[in-house]
Amino acid sequence: MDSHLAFPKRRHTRGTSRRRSHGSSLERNLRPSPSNQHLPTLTRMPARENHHPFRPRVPEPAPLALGEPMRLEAVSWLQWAEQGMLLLALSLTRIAAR
Amino acid sequence: MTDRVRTEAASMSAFKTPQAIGHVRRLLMVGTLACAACLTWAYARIIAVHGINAAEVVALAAFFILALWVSLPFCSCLVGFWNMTRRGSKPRSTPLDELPQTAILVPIYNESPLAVFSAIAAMARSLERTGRHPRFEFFVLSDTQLEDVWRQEEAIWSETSALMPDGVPIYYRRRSKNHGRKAGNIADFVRRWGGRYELMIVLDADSVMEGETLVEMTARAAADETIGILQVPPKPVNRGSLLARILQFAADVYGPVYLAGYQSWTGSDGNYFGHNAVIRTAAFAKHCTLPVLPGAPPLGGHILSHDFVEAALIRRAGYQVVTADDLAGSYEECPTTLLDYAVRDQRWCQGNLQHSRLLAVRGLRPASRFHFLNGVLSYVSSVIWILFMVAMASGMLLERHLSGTKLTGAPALLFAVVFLMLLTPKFLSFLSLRSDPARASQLGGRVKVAMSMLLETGISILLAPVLAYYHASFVISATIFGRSVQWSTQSRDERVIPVRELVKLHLWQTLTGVAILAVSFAISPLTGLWCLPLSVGLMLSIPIAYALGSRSLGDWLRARGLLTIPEEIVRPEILRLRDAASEEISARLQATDRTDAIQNEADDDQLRTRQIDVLMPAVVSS
Repeated sequence: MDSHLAFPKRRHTRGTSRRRSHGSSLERNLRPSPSNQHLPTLTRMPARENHHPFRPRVPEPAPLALGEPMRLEAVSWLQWAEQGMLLLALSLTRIAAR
Repeated sequence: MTDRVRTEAASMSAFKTPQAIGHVRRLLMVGTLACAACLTWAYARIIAVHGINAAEVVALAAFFILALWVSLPFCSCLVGFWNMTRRGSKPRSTPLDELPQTAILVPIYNESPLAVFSAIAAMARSLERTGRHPRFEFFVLSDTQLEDVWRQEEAIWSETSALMPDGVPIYYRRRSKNHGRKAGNIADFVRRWGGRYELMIVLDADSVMEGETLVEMTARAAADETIGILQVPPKPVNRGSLLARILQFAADVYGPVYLAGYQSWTGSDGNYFGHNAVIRTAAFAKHCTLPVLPGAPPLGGHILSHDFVEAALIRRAGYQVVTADDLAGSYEECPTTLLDYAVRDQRWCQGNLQHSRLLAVRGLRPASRFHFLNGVLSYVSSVIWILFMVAMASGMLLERHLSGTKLTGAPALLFAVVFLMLLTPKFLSFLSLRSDPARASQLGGRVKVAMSMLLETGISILLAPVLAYYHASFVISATIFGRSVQWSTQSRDERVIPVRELVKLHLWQTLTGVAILAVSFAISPLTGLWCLPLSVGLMLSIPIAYALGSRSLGDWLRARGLLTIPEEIVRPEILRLRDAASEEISARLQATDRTDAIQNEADDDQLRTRQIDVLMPAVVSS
C-alpha cells in the first residue's frame, strides 16, 4: 500500500448542507485543520506538483505562449452591404456570361 | 517533414473538392429558400382568404423562419442521402512511420473519478495493442472543487498509474480555482505544457476511444499540417434508460444521413464538438485565445460553448477543421433522465446565445458564422414557434372565424407537407438500411428497426412541446431576465428521479398544457384537436419524464429487441476493457481499504438537488 496516499474515510454528507469554505481552496489545503492534518504532505500541498517521491504528477514545464485574445470588432453594416452587392454582381456576371 | 502537406480530406464523402462543396452549398441554399418560400406562400394563401390582420403578419413572419428551420435539415438530408449512395469506400489508414508526441487531455469537474480513470486505463491498454502507445501521454486536468471528489481522484489516480502500460504516463493536475471553466482548463495546460506536444486529443469526462482510432486520427493530423482540428463524431452508448435508448438509437440510425449531409457542405469548414477531436497545439495556442465578452453573464463574461468559437478562430487562421466521418471507435455517454438532458441544454443554450455576439466579428468565414447562427436558432426557434402559435390564435380570434372553416382542406394539406418534411430524414435513414443489410441486421432486422422508429417518433412528438417549453424558458430567462446558468456538474450515471421532484419540475408545464387544452377547445372543438399534439405533451410531462428516466422500461424494450444499437449486441472491445479496468481499480481500492473513493448514493442526491435548484429559476421565472 502506498502509505503516502492513505486517505481518510469520506464524511457522510447525506441530508446535510456542504460546509462553507473560507479562503481559497489552496489556502484551505495548506492550512492545518482537524480535517486535513493527518493527510500526507502531497495532498495538502498541491502547488508542489513535482515533489512526489515516486511518480511525477506532471512533466517538466514546456510553456507555449498564447496568442492575442479574439478581437470583437464587428464588420460594419456598410461592409456587409458592400460584400452583398459584390456577391450579387458576381453572380449576375456569371449568369450573364453563360 | 517533407511528406506533411495538404492532402485531400480522408472522408467517405463524395464531395471533396472545394468546387464540389461550393456547388452543394449553392444547391442547399437555393433548395432551402425555395422550400421555405413555397410553404410560406401556401400559408399566406390560407390566412389571406378573409384578409390579413396585424397578428397574422407576425404569424407569417414567424412561419417563414420556422419554414427555413424545417427546410434546411430536409434539404441537407436529401443531399446527405445522395452523398451516401455515391460515396466511395472507406479511406485507407494513413501511413506514418513516426507519430508526433501527443497529449490526451481529460478535463474533469467533479465527475465520478472511477469512471474517468477506468476509461483512461482502457484507452491506454487499447493503445498498447497498436504498438504506437509510447507516443501518447494522458493528462487528467482536474477542475474539481468538491473536496471529497478531489480526494477520490487522487486515490484512484494512484491506483490507475499502476495499471498503465509501460511508456504511457498518466499525469494529474488540479486547479484550485476553475477560472474560465473548461476552456480555461485547456488553456492552462497549453500555456504550461503545450510546447511538449505537437498534437493534443481533447476528450470529455465520459469519452472513450479505441486505440486504433486514436492512432489513426493522430496520423491524419500529423500527415497534413493544414489540419487544425480533426473531429471524430462520438457515438452515444452504454446507457439503458428509455431516454438514453432513444438518443442512442436516433444517433445510430439517423446519424449517418445527417452526418453525410453535414459533410457534403462543410468540407474544411467543419465544426468542433468540444471533445473526441485532435488539435494542432501550436496553432490552437496562437489563434484560439478566447475573449471575455463585455458585460455581465448570461450574454457576457467567459464564453461557455468554447468549441464553436475555437473552430471558427482556427479556421480564420487558415487551418482546416475536418470531420472524420469514416472513423468508428469514438464513444460518449448521453443523459439518462429529462432533468439531466434539460440541465445540459440550459448550459448549451446560454453558450449558443453568447455566440450571437460573435456573428458579425471581422474576419470569420461565412461557414463559421452559419455554425453560430445555427446554434442560436436551435434554441430561439422554440420562442419563434410559441410566438407563431400565439400570433396565429390571436389572428383567428381577431377575425372571429372561430368555426374552424380555416382548419380544414388546405391547412390540413400544409400541415401534412410540413410533417412529411420533418419525417423525411427518418425515411431516408430507413432506406439507407436497405442497401446495408449487415447494418440492418446489427440493429435487429428491418422490422424491429421500423417498430423502433415508430416508437421513437411517437415519443419525440410528445416530447417536442416539453423541450420547446424548456428552450423558450432558457432563452427568455437569459435574454429578458438576465439569469445566468450555474455551472452544475453533469450526472453521467444511471439514476432515478423521485416522483415528488418530477412534480416540482414539471408542474408549470402540466398547468400550461391544461390551459392550452381548455382555451383551444373553448375556441372550437376543431382548434382543440389541432392543438392536441401541443397540449397533450405538456399535460403528460410528469409521466413522460418518469417513463423516459426509467431503466426498467428501457430494459423491457431491449429484451424485445427495440431501440437497440449494435454496441449492445456485440460490446466494443474498448467498453469491455473499461469494465475490466473499473473492476481492477475497485478491487485495488478495496484491498487497500479505500472503498470511500467510490462514489455512493449520497453524492447523487446532492447533485440532483443542485441541478433542480439550477433549473427551476429559469423554468418558473419565464
